[in-house]
Amino acid sequence: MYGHERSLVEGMTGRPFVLLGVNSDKEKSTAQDAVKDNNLNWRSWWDKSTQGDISSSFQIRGWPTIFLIDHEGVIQAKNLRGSQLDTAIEQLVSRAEGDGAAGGPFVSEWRTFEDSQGKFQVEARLIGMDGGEVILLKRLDQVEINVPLKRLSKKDQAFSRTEIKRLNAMNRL
Amino acid sequence: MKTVWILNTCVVVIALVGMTGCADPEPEVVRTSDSALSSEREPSASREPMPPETRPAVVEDRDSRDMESVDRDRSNSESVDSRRSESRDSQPMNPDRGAGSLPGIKPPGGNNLNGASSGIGMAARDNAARDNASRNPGAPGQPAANRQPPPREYKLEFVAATGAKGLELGDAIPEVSGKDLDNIKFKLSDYRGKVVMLDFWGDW
Repeated sequence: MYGHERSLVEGMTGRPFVLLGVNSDKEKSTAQDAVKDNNLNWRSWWDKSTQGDISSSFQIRGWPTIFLIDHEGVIQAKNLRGSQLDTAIEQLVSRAEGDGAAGGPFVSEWRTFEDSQGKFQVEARLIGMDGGEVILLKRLDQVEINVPLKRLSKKDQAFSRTEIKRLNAMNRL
Repeated sequence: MKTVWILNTCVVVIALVGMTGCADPEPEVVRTSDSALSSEREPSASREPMPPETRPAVVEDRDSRDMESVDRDRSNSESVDSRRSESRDSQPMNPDRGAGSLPGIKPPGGNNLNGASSGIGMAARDNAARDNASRNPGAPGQPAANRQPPPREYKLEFVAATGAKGLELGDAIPEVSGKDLDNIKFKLSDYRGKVVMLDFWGDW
């Protein structure tokens, strides 16, 4: 199963697809070792046991249980395996692409950033952080600008720190 | 001169026939999904952020009834429960179950997925068909408030009857949130707009 899942993720690189796991190992280290030993390339919630919060709320009774969820959040298939799984994913991803869903790295939403004095505002998307500077892509002219973190409002500083962490975690796996 | 006009007419007629001919054999799945979805589409940037755990993940445009119906399904009416337990009990539930021991994935008649995929929209299993029937608005025996929107026509209907009993095909997936193996918080709705394979797994 690991090998199949790994190649699924690799094969879908750049397309609007993500594999997310809910891990029910009692010891977190068991799951971490599995990730390391098998080069697992997807992200998992650690649910602490088969009776964990997520598994319980989904009333999971067998492992593995697999849901396929389309780009609109609707459950489209359960517990497909092997080539059936591949085919169904391909169908759903093609449909998502037909609807304009994007693959590739996760990016931040557009946001109005404000400077610490409250004098300047810019609508932009956070695309990176480099030392003490944030890198913003301006919506108006699609130009990248570097802004010292300290020059942003407290709120935008906090947002930038959290958002970068969130995006990095999403894009690493 | 007259010959030229006739020739031109012929070309136009052939072109028209050709166009309708091309439009016709388009796969049903694609056509339904396009028409069903295009009216709901919005640029994602304009969408409002979702408060965690209050709304279904990834879904923006769906009726709020969906989430309620998921909840209701879990507490669930007796008739639905007994119907589902019937098929569930017939299947082994041990964690080591491999792909080979999963009965019921193949639609009856030995169709493999290729067969099933060209026939999306036809019920692959009896219970799937019954689920759909009970889901249709106006289905007898359901209070009005418990009715769900009709299933989308394009949905994939091959399904094994194991696993989460409260969630069925066509339901909106509820929000999932928690911490990953590196202790970083994340939630399913972070991945909105993507096809998600949600895999409940363990290394045992």
